[in-house]
Amino acid sequence: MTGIHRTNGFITALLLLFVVFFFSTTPAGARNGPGKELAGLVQPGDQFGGFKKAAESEYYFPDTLFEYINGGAELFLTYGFVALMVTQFIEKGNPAHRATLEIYNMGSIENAFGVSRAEEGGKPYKLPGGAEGSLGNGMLQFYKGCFYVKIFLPPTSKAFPAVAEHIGKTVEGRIKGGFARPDFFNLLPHSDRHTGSENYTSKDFLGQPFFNRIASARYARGENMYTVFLSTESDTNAAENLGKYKEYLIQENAYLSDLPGGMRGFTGRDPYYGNCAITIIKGRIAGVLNNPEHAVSILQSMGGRIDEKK
Amino acid sequence: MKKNKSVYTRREFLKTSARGLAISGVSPFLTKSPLFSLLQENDELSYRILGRTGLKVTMVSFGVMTTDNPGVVAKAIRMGINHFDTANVYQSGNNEKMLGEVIKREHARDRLIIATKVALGRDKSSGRFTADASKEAFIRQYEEGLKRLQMEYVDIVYVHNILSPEMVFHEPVLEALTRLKKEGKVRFAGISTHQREEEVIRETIKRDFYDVILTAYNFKKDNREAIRQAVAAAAQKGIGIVAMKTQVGGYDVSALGISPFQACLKWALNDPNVSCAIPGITNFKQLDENFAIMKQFELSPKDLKQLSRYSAYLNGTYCQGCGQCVGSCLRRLDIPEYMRSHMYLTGYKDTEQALGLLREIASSAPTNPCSSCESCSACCPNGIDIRGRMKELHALQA
Repeated sequence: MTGIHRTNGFITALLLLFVVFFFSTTPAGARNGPGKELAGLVQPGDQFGGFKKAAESEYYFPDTLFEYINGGAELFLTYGFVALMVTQFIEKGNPAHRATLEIYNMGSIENAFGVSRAEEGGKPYKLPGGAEGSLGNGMLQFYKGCFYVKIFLPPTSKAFPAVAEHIGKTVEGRIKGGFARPDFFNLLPHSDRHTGSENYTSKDFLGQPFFNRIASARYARGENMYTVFLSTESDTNAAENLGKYKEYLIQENAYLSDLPGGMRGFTGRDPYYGNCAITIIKGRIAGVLNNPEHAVSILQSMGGRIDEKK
Repeated sequence: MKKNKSVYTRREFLKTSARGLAISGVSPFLTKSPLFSLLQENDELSYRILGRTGLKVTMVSFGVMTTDNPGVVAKAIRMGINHFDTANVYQSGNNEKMLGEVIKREHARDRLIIATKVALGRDKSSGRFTADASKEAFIRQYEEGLKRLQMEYVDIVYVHNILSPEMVFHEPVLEALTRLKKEGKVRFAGISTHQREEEVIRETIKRDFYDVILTAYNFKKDNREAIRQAVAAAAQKGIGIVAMKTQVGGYDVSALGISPFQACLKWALNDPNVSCAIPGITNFKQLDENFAIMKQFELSPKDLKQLSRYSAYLNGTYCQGCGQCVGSCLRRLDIPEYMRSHMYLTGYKDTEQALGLLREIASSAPTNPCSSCESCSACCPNGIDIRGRMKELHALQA
């Protein structure tokens, strides 16, 4: 009996050791969820214009992203970063020539869009499937769905941009679904909008810790350049946050007046961002920067669009 | 900028620092370096000298890193903060661009000390530069940064993220920095380090090449004592020390009724060998809070309490994702993923993100996987209350 117990105990201990070893050597997120989704976007035999996958892809999660990009990690964490897969491709016969593919699962389309906008450089670029991004300085970057994709080579590499485009096109095709922009931009005015000026700020809009998740776009009417912004969702704290901003403007001697016509909200001269008319529409913070003449009508028409959407 | 009202003598400074350190429970570590930083103070601003560079930097400087609010940078300049730190990789260069535009608009270049960083290819496994980390690559990257900053020169250029002592004196980088200095495009050279800090700092002081070290340094680092001693040795050699990562992740702990970030900054600045810290600042509130400590940077008993509570929070809060708990759970649930969802819920205060992740997990596990267990066997080697957190997550889904 005792011998059987000992044998069983030994086998159990071995199994336990195996389980502990397995789970401690495989990154948790790579086994399922976001890691699994990322893994499908690169395949073992992938080869692009003489560049071949160099080694297994590496995975990073919110608590390990610093190991990969240290200071740069904070931007991604601000935008709700979920997981990153990094894959290196090396040119045949020339291992010093590398192409690096980074695919970030940002958890949502607005986060992927926001971080893509924060990092865009070079010229605007559209992939064959419609995904939008930019190309230049040795980097191709774009977003599609909740994924933000970056491909870079040394800027002097002769393989750039062809290899980056080839990789980008392949990854874009493997991300399920069609390309779409975050739909909250449809709530902002369409006329006079600068193409490609849309932005999404996850926190600290106008430098204020209470203005988070804000969509904005720039506009031009004649000589007048202005910005319109709107919370991407309604917030039960909207009135409180509006009050905090009013307090800030008063402290800065920048409060001007309440909005006319009984509209909730006020105008002020923000010391760092200019004239601001701000209100609440269906629980969302909405505002216009630097267009005092038309601010009220812009806000009213935006209210109409939000009503229609509802 | 306001005129200096008083200048601390070295003796006064040593006294002040020693008092602060005694309160903090950290043994005083006052150096006898002849290049020991001087402290100058007026009503609001305090400065220290950045080692042998002779640069007079505001003790609280500005880590621009995640800032995309030009208004916050503009206000910092107007308040008198004079040292701004960026890097060519932050927001893929857009951070340098934004900083350059604000400085130009504020006509402030001449009165500011600007630091940036250049990151070359590194192989994490060997802790060395990759084959493409050449002199030309360094110069090219740096000059692209100069264009984005719209500047003729930068005051401090760091070799970004030195992983090991072997990376400190990489000849192509030294050649690049020597050339850039000769051409007047760089005033001082430095290195930045986030890991193996003590070894990297000790290696750096072996040769008389770098003027500044930017190091991760905070009250929670396991190796803080070793860093402290290495920092003292570097300061003794005249190297200027800039502290980063002082806020230990800057977790939102307002729900706990504590606000530890001023205390975190004070902790770092109470090391007299640290010339300044560069906390990341993204809004006006943080700017005002950080700025305020220049008036009074001694660690008070209240500060120590804040640090102690923040420390406790960090100990039992941060899931490292090691997965060791999974084997102890009878259902073999992917606990790190649940803990991540909990972090979104309580750390980031983002219910939607927490629920989104729970939905993802639910695709491969039942909605309330703990319901079939009478008691919880899962345990975390770092003491995280897995059972309590799972309960909170189930309540969220209910």
